[in-house]
Amino acid sequence: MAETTPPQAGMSVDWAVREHRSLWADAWRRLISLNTARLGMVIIGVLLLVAVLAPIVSPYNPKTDSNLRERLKPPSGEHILGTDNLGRDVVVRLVHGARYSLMVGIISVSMGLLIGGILGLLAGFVGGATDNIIMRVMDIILAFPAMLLAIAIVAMRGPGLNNTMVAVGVVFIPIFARLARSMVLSIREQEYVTAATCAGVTRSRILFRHILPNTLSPIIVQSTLGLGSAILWAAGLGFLGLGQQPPKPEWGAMLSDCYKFLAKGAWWVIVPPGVAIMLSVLGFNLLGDGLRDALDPRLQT
Amino acid sequence: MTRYIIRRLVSLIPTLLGVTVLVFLFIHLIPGDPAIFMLGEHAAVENVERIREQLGLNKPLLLNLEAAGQAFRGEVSIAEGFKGFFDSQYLGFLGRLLRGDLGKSVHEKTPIADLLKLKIPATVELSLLAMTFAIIVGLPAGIISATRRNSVFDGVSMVGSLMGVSMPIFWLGLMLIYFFGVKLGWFPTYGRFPVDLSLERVTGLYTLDSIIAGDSQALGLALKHLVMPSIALGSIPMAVISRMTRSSMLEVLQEDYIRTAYAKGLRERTVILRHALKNAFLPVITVIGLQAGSLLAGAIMTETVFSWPGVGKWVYDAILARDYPVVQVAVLVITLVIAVVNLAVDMSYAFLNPKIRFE
Repeated sequence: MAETTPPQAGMSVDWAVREHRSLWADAWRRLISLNTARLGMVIIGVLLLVAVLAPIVSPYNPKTDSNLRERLKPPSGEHILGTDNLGRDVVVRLVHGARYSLMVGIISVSMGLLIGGILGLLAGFVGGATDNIIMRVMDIILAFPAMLLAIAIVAMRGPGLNNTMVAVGVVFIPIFARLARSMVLSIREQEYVTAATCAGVTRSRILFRHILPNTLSPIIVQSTLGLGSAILWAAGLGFLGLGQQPPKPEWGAMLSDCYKFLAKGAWWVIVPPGVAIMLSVLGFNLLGDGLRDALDPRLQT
Repeated sequence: MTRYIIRRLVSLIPTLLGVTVLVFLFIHLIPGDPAIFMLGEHAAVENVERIREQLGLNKPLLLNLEAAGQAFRGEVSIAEGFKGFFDSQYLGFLGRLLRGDLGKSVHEKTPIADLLKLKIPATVELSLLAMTFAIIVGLPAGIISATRRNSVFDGVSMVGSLMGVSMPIFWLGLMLIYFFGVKLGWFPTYGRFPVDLSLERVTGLYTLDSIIAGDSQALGLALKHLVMPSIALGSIPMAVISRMTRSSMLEVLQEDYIRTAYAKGLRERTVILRHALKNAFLPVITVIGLQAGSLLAGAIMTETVFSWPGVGKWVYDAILARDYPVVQVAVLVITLVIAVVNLAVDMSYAFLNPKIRFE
């Protein structure tokens, strides 16, 4: 795929030398050549845009938001996706809900990455008893199904958005701890590190050019896929009434608010939040899969 | 092989002990008096005292250092001190569990073991059907996708499976309820069986029980109740199985012996099913086994949406009702089942792949 210019008369071309590109530029090229990854990026882009612009375009106003004379109205020109049981515009709530989903995703994944990463690095570098204790505790946490663990933590700390983020974050800790530990262990064994050292490459160059790119890619992939799972779990907690509390427009809470009106045929209060959750999660899954292929070309399937 | 099984079973013990510690500490990580937390602030003093006594909340948490100290200072005999040293809340909890005494529900005052006997068959029946659905749909979809790579079918099934893993199952459940329950009226929207009918209880699996009773009408009713929850619960395993089958088959189809089989003039059916599928099956089995965890976790959502009286809804209701003895047992049961299933999956490797020999 290297771009080459046709040889011109009187000019010798060294075909063996490719235009110099960094590892990241290579990965980026592979990434944007994947249709699925591009779709994922578009979905995430729209989600981010919506989340950032929502308060600017239409500030959330609980007072004017509900209008009891306009309850459960089907989609119309005025309300594109209709209104819910309190006469609130579904689109407005959906748009503001994007903020909560993204927030839970970003904060909980960061929390898992930070705490799990530190624990994993510690386990990997120190080894011995420390390694054993940390990883056994991680195994025990992993023995619980993620959703059950999240529910238990929220049950312990009480419902709400903050505790949702803590609960989902805790679920991520063992996942990232294992990842970080395996990274440390594998680096010790890498021959290319020895080779680079022998070739007289400086330590910082080895760290940033050789080790970091190889260790960073699984973390990037796991974080991206984690954002999707976090959104899914947060919506689940919201639906069970343990997450963000009404009247705040979190997608899962919107569903639990309104699902009793399905029997009346009010599909428009149920379909949009679910589609929003599904598309957001799909976006992160597509991008995550794409990143995995792009960052590790050996795994081509 | 036997040695390997024993070693794996032994290695399971520390993890399970850790799980019991965590589950035990669960009620102590909540700020305040667990007994008051469970019963509410306006609970009668004698009730609070009863719960404290029942759960042994007046004893030290992990080990009774006080009793050991007494023996050390010579206030009690060494033997008594030694015995007292282990008289703690956690060890008491563990001891009762090992003796099979699961305690009582705080609110229902029923032995938890009895409740468990009622709830487990409901979840087992739902999970089995969900898994059957996932395999029946997911496996052929994966095989066809792999053999007709990049075809329309491949595209549709891969998009479908991606959507399957991205969809909240409670939402899928709601959609099914709306279309097939409310709009079309094909399937009942909640429960396992009509409330006004009863079925003689043998196994607790209503489908099996109705077959045993020879009651075809009851079997039909039980199956009708199962359809939508099974589809909702089976959606994620189905998606995962079809993706795994596809990628595993694609890998195997590139092997030399497949080309040889075609060159011998074997029919495509034979090559795919006899030669390729057999070898592509190992990763698929792993994935199927690993879905046990996702099924049990998914059961919490599915059972809540469909008012299915199983373990998932039970643990969720118990959490809301702060019935912690129930939560503890239910969580333990769920983790134990997952650990055992994972072990069983590892064991099955030896039978499926003779190349693997356990040390």
